[in-house]
Amino acid sequence: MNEKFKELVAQVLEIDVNRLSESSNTSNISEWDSLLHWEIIAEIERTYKIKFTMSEAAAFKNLGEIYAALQGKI
Amino acid sequence: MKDVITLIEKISVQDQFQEQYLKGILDTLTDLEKHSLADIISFFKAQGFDLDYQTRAYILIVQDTMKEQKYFFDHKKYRYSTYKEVAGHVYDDPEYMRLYMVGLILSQYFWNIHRSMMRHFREITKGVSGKKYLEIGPGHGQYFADAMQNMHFDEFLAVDVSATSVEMTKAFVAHTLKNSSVKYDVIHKNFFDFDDSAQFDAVVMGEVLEHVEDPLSFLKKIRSVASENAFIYITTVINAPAIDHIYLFRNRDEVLDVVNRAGLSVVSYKEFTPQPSISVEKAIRKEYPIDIALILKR
Ligand SMILES: C[S@@+](CC[C@H](N)C(=O)[O-])C[C@H]1O[C@@H](n2cnc3c(N)ncnc32)[C@H](O)[C@@H]1O
Repeated sequence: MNEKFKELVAQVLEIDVNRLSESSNTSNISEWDSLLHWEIIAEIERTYKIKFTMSEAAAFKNLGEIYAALQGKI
Repeated sequence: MKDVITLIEKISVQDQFQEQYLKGILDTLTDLEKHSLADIISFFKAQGFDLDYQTRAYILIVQDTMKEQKYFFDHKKYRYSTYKEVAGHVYDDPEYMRLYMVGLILSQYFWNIHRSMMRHFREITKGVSGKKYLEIGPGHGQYFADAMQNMHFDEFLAVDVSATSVEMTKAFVAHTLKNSSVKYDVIHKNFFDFDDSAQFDAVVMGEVLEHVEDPLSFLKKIRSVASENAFIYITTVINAPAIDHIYLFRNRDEVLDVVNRAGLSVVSYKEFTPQPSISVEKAIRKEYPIDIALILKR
């Protein structure tokens, strides 16, 4: 995952970027609830000018998966 | 309590965020709340709506709300703005409306924001009394049943635009107040068409104002049916998208302003956020959902 991507997510979550890794998700980052999840998705879509489907985005299991899906779209 | 745990397990399997969110939920409920929740779950079961149905209902409201939340993050507005757009597939669709209201009553216990409001309502209404009590938009009937248990009025009346809500409220109250002789009625009507010659000593309306196109006229109507010293309690939402929210209040001042313009004055208000870790200030800054509960007077 590149820094720009991690920074973007850290900014939405309002946490230190060093807390984020590929395995980050709702179960290990307490700030990451469903509200923040959709804000993260919306910010990624806006920044990278791509779209995820709702079901695709609801199923992401961690940050690594989001990043991988993003790579497939840009 | 077994069914409560099973329901939480069933929900958790279907949604990773709910799984996380509902972990430890039972520890945050009081014994009385746990008891009420278990009772609600068994009441629905007895009506033929089993745990799978209740899981589906809860997941439906969670997913629909998140879908609208995503729309709101993208567009900074609610998807719909007219009553006509939502009435057909929400209030007037019995199948959808029932799922929605079952999900919504469960959210009173499961969601921090709704639980806090339910507690607030119980606190501030204890002992309130008078002749006639009116509730607008009881939906699932939880607040109406609460009111009948906590307050003392000669008559309780509720009015809801959805036939399904009317039916559910009646059934819920009949169940919750089995052995009570309190006089009540639930009528099927749009509050805009409600007879405004009647006067009430309490008017309660939870999460309805964001469902109407013209909140100002709605509040004026509330004013007109409230007696001189009536206890008026309303809640509404700020930046809180949902499938049937059509009027967007963008901040607290917009709510206070429309209330004042309707000729009502604010005695006090309290705001609620989705998570204890999200302060009201943060919710305002990030445009996250806020629920606001207001005590008003004429
Ligand atoms: C979100 S539910 C609120 C349920 C409950 N009061 C609560 O706070 O959880 C909104 C309810 O208001 C009803 N409603 C919406 N517009 C209405 C109107 N114009 N007149 C009467 N009821 C209305 C809906 O049918 C629904 O039952």
